[in-house]
Amino acid sequence: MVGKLDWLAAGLPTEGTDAARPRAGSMARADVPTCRLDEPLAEVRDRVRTAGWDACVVVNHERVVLGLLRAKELDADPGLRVEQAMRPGPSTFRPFVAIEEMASFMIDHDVPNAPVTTSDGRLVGLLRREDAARAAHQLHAGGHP
Amino acid sequence: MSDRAGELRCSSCGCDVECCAFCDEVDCPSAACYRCVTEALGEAMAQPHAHGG
Repeated sequence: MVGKLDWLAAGLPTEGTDAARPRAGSMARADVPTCRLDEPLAEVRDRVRTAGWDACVVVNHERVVLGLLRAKELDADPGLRVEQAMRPGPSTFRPFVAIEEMASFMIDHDVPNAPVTTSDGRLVGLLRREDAARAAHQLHAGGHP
Repeated sequence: MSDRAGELRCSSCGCDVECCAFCDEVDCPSAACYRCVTEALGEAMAQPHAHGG
């Protein structure tokens, strides 16, 4: 039997008074570029920047997160392969985490983006700090308890 | 015994950590351990009893 936390961690729909509250999963960008371990970094960087992004999530064939390329890693030696340049095993966060908490942590820790995954590591999307901060601000301004 | 140079501690509970569980940095000024991060984000609940009873 699947527990409530497992349901929430899978990013599945919920009901109730808090269901409409913005959370990490609903604010994460599912259209974040992804790449594989063995791709040339130069090709990935060009693809990512052309798409208007400054980050790319490294996944396997099941979309399980293996690594993360932020701006610094994307600017590494273009002769490297992705797995040589990436941040391996980045911290990931569950979709149900309250957006105010994520925004607060991301600002405190100066983290520009954070991968959101299900509890089995599959990519839900990339939460950008500006998106989290904006949502948290709107929530606060709207007087949501 | 004195603290080792470069030793990182959780800013919440004070336990030793190799890197911050939120940002993965080894020199994070507000480093946190995995347990404190997951509890703060609501991903886990604090154990009510240390003895488990």
